[in-house]
Amino acid sequence: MPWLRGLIHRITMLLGKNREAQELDEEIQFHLEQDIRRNVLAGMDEVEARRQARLRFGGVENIKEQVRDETGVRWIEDLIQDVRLALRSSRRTPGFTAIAVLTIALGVSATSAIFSVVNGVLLNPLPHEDAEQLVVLWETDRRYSPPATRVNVSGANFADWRELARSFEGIGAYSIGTATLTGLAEPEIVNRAWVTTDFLPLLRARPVLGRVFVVGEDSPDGDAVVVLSHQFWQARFGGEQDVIGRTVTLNSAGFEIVGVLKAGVDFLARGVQVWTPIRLAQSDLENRRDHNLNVLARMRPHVSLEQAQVEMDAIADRVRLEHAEWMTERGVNVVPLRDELVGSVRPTLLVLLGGATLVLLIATVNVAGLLLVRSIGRRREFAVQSALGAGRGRLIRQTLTESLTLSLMGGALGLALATAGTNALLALAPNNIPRVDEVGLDIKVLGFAIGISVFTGAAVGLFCALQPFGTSLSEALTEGGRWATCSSRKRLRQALVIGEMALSMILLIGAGLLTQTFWRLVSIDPGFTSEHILTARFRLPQNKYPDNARMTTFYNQLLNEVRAMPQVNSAAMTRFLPLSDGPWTFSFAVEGQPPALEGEKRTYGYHPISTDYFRTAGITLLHGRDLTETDNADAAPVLIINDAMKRQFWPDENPIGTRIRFDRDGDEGPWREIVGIVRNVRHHALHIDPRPTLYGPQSQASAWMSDRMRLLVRTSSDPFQLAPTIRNIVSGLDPNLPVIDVQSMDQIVAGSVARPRFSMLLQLTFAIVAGVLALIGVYGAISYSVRQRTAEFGLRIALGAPSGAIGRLVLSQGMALSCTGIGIGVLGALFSTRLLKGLLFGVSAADPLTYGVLAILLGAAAALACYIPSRRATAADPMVALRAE
Amino acid sequence: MTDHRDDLLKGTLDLLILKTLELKPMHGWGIAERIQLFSDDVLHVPTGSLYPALQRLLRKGLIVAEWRQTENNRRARYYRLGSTGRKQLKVETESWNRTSVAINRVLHASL
Repeated sequence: MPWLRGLIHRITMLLGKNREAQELDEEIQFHLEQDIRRNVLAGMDEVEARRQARLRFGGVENIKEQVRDETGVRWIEDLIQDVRLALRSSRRTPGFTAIAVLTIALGVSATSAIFSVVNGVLLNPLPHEDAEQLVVLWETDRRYSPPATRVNVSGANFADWRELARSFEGIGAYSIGTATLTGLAEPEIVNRAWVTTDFLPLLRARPVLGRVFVVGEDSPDGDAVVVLSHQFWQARFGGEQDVIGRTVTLNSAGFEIVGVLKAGVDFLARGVQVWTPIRLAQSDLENRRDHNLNVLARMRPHVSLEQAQVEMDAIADRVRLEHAEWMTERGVNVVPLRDELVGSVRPTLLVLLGGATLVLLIATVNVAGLLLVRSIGRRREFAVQSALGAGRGRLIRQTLTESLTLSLMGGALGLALATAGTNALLALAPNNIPRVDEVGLDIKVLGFAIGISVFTGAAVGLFCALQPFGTSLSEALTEGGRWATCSSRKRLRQALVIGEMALSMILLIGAGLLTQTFWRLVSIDPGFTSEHILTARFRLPQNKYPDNARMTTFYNQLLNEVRAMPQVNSAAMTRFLPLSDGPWTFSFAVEGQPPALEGEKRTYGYHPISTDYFRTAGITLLHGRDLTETDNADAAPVLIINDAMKRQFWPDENPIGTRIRFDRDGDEGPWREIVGIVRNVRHHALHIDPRPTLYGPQSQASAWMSDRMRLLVRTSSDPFQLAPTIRNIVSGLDPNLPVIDVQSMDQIVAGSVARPRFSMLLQLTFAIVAGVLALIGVYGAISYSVRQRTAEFGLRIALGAPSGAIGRLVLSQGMALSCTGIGIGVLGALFSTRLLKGLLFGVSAADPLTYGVLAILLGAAAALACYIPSRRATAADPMVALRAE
Repeated sequence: MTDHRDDLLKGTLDLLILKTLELKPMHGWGIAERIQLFSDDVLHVPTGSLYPALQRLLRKGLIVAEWRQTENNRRARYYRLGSTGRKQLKVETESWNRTSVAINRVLHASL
């Protein structure tokens, strides 16, 4: 193993460097003495013998050098020397070093911070065995425009898929929600999943204690059993081994604990604490009307997503043929579990990562510009080194080491900034980004930061090192600074300026578009007023409130007490809160008209509400009347529709007085009379147009529609002051009823635009940082060229050139560069902002106004950056300038 | 600053050093003297080539260095042939013989 011997030799040489040098000295000394002795023996006198021996031996230092070259450790020593040189020269120019290190740190920290989020949210593997085989199955519905791609699955479809699909090892149904846990301590809301018995085996979720569900437990007559998550078991039962067989109370019903899952088992990052069987009756599995199941499947090994999708398409076609009445326009969508979890944030995060990368690029270009200018100043130093025998490779290596030293210092600082930045980022991030708690500094982020630092340093160093050293040695030594006017260097500096301007233009335009999106979103009139409104949520347990009448009584009592509070202007209940949860979508039949065909179904959103809802939420009544206390369970059923519904179904008539009813098999309910029309509310999201909507009194709705209502309270001051009193009122009425999701309507509105706001803020930050860096770059380049040309300007002034002309010359040169950069940036933005498309609202990716305004803005800033050095050029004193040479 | 290492001697010098050391362990000065002596004063080994070559052979593990007393009770660095060096010497001697025979044939070629 010669390489090993070589390695050992090198290490000993490196470690015993001093001893080795001494030995060599001694060896040479011995050699000389031997020669002298021989010369003396040959008859020379002592002095002559010594002289001859030295002559014969040659240059001692030179030979030592050559011997060291043969030891094979030369490059390591050089490296150490280079680093020492680099550190020394960075100490000599602290200003330059600080700016370069800071610039790199900015770029590295921005990129690393975003990458740590991307890593935690998008890249880290899901916490399931073979998670890439897990998919979620949705129905699609092409009647909507755009087509709905994530519709819940009907029981009958679920049963068909289970029976027919061969691509999957198994298909299970689930539903995730909350339940009220009582009997342990304070009543609390826990995250609960309802699953079929094959669901946990599909997840490969194994118990540490007891068992998971067994076949039959997901039927209506199955036992009431529950499996606990590891975290919940630890937190509530202190990890006791004897929990199996004990009972917990969920929504007032007892469940026997049969198992505890392994640590870390969760689904869709929802923090599920208790798992119970989903109860599916035979009738549920034959129901094609109600689409209310979520479906998980595990693909067999070697089955691809495409194959699974093709098979499911075929099954959908087949079912459609057999059940034409229900399946029109419906299909199947196979979605990888990862996309289901994080698919919606992927575009946002990737766009942010792109923005941060542009900042890093600009930082790199900026540092390259700085180093380039400095290397021109250091030309004499390099010339001297080269005269002393340093080869070109050696000089390149030294430049590289210097830039790498700078970039690694910048990277270290950047990483420190990134850790702080990531925390700030998470504080700023909308809370609906899934898996955000998994974000952190791990080995991948560390590697990433080091990687980009090295890349930056290497790019900058190579760029500077590979510059033509141009003119000859003697010229370099004699000519001084004027060498910088060498045209290839000048072109290069210009290219850097243009590149910086172009990159920051792209970032600015991206940020501008996102800012416009945000402003357009928040300036939309949502149709309700959000100020001074407090909301809270309840879930009435079925065994205590078995029918609608008892629920109505509770809500009325609650409303009466809340309305009696002095600070309260009005209060109401509603099943669905705007911008929070969607209404049920039903279709309806109009009295005296034939039922609608499947393809042209009359669909609408249905909201059970209490009296005073419109007044409390600030929704204007356009026609007819509001609900009154007399619209109760005993009175004739009534409905209020929104303007969108009126325009869609009764464009030319007055619908008030018309009677309609649900178009649901066996659950049509009575005919209900339309008594009023209210203004549209943007219920689903600010950017989604209002859909046809019905509001009806909760007292006239079915029991299953009424158990989860939200309280809405309007006050004239800070709504949160009401919260404690409202909690007291609720616990006075029902001590076992937790009050959840206490938030102000303002918070809900802000939450609905949190993601665009997040993108906008970050992208703006990046754009500003990038813009400042680019302007510094422009300023630096122009000042440098002014400094280089001081003599020329002085001469021109001496020869009678008006100083204004000199200023204009400098300014116009700077502006030519900046404008070229801006132009290229605009073209680049036209191309790259297409990636933003999914994140934009109300503004086109090629919005001419945004482009124009920002281009002018950046141009003006660049003009300022060029103006300052141009003033200096004008002030060039011919005498000083000429003497300087 | 002439570079001796790139001479034709580079390979040959190594061979000559190995051969010298095969006869007897020797210090640097002695190696140069011996080569000069054996070659009837034709081959003069410059120190600028000798010591780098010794370092190179050490790195390759062909020779071993140790400090010893000379006959005159002077401390000197002696080099001796390692076992790999012995093998290498054999290989290189054969290769040299082949090459020199071949070169001679070329030089004495006639039409």
